[in-house]
Amino acid sequence: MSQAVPAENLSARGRLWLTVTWASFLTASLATMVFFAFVDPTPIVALLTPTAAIPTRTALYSVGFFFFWAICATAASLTAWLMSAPSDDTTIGNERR
Amino acid sequence: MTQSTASDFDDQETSYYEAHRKVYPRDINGRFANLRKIAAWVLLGIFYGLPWLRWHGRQAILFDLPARQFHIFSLTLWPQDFIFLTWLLVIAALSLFFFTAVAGRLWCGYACPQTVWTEVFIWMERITEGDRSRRMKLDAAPWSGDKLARKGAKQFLWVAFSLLTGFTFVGFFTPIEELGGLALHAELGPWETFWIFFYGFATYGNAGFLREQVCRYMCPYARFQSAMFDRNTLIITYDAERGDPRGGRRRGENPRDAGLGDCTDCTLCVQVCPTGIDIRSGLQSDCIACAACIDACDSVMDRIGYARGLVRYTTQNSLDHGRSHILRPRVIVYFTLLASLCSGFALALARRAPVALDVLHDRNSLYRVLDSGEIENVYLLKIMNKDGTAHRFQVRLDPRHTANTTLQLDPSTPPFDVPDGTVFNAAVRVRRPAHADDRSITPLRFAIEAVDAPTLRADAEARFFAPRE
Repeated sequence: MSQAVPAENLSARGRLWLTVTWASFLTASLATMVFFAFVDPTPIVALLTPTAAIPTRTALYSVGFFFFWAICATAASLTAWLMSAPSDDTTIGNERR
Repeated sequence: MTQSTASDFDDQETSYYEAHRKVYPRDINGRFANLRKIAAWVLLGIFYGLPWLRWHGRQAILFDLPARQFHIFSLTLWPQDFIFLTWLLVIAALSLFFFTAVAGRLWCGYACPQTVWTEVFIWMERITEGDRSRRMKLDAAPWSGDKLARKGAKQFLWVAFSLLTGFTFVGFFTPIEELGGLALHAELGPWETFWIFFYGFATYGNAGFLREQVCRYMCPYARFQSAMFDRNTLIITYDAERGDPRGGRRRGENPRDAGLGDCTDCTLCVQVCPTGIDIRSGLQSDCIACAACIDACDSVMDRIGYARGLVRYTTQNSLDHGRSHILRPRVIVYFTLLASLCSGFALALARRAPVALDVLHDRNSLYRVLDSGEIENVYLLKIMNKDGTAHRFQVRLDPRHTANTTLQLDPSTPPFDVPDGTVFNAAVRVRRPAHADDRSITPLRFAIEAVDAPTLRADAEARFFAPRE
């Protein structure tokens, strides 16, 4: 039931995904904090959607956090993806080796 | 460290840990366990109690994100005070460096939320499923009514405690009494609900499910703390010189006659370890320095009449029969930096301007020509009162700045009452007599001053627009 999943037993890909998610969570938290300390989102949203009702700041901060999380996760996954060297057999020109 | 005897532990029990299955930490009492319990009570008490504390009619600690204000007792921090938050984070990081250099992973063992919450979760596991051996048996046993009841009770406690934690966490950002009322009537907003469950889920996952794996695989500090360690840092270690060769012995037997050291190889130090390591294998990055193994070993040493301290807090230097130094360049540098940052922080906080003024020119029209021929500009004054009490502010034009102009503040401008912790928006008018000046743009400066406390003042620049003549 509460049998902890041993991290060693996760696939390399699984560990990579967890690392990407976790690292981007940390950086997104930081980004959210710094960004919203300087920028109040309500006037911007009011400007963008003048007719619609303005959501609460809590909602805007939350959406902002997930936005940052998505951006950071994209950067982290790209890094993880590019870090893995292309294996010989898939490198262009080396297919038949 | 040398491992000269093959022990029972190596043959049988290692499989539990080497395969990295679930760690079943054994309960232990002792000096350091008591310290850890005190730390946990104090820290959890602060976390769960603080949001309920009232101060001058409002929540004492409230990070009011919707209102963009942080209330910390009498202090109100605004977005403009972001520097203080950054400063505080730098101080926190440096304190971590300082304490790590002096006393090793004190943070991990006693104060880290991961450790504290894991201890609570393990306590709940113990009262529902029993002690270490019973937990292991229960997990290995087939499903039965008893197992279901015990596991169900544990899960109920865990989930309830996690939700309480999530609720308290959100209560630091939304007034908690209000939040409690809404929760009781099931009228929570969607985002409050989401964050309560999100944080509750994180608590459950980290303290109930992942536990020591957070320290091993997720914690950045665990990865770089070795950079702060040196031979004079306090570490928890096994005295191999005294303990080896390990082995069982009969009561009253002199171990030296049997060619043995002081370690009886009881493996209690391994059984109590929350991260499932063997301290006798030397300093390891997985060790969170909780000192449970010290308590375990001391209890055994007491029972068999040996001196305590086979596993103890010590330094690498004293282990090698050298001298330990507390004062060393690294510590002195950390301390000097820390002391200057802290005093700078206190000074800056004390000298923080309690009143601020922002001026916005009316967006709709640059100027208005009145029937009398006077030219009028309208400004929006944003008066911020961070002083802690309400004040009445008088607005005027700074004469040093407007002496050579004919600008005049509308004489009917009233003084403005600004409650504490608010931004007051005041529309004020400035006029210039007809044909008094031919400049199309004139700089001016607004000044505000508290009527009851003339030292509370602020000013801000603006521009007066007029048609070209």
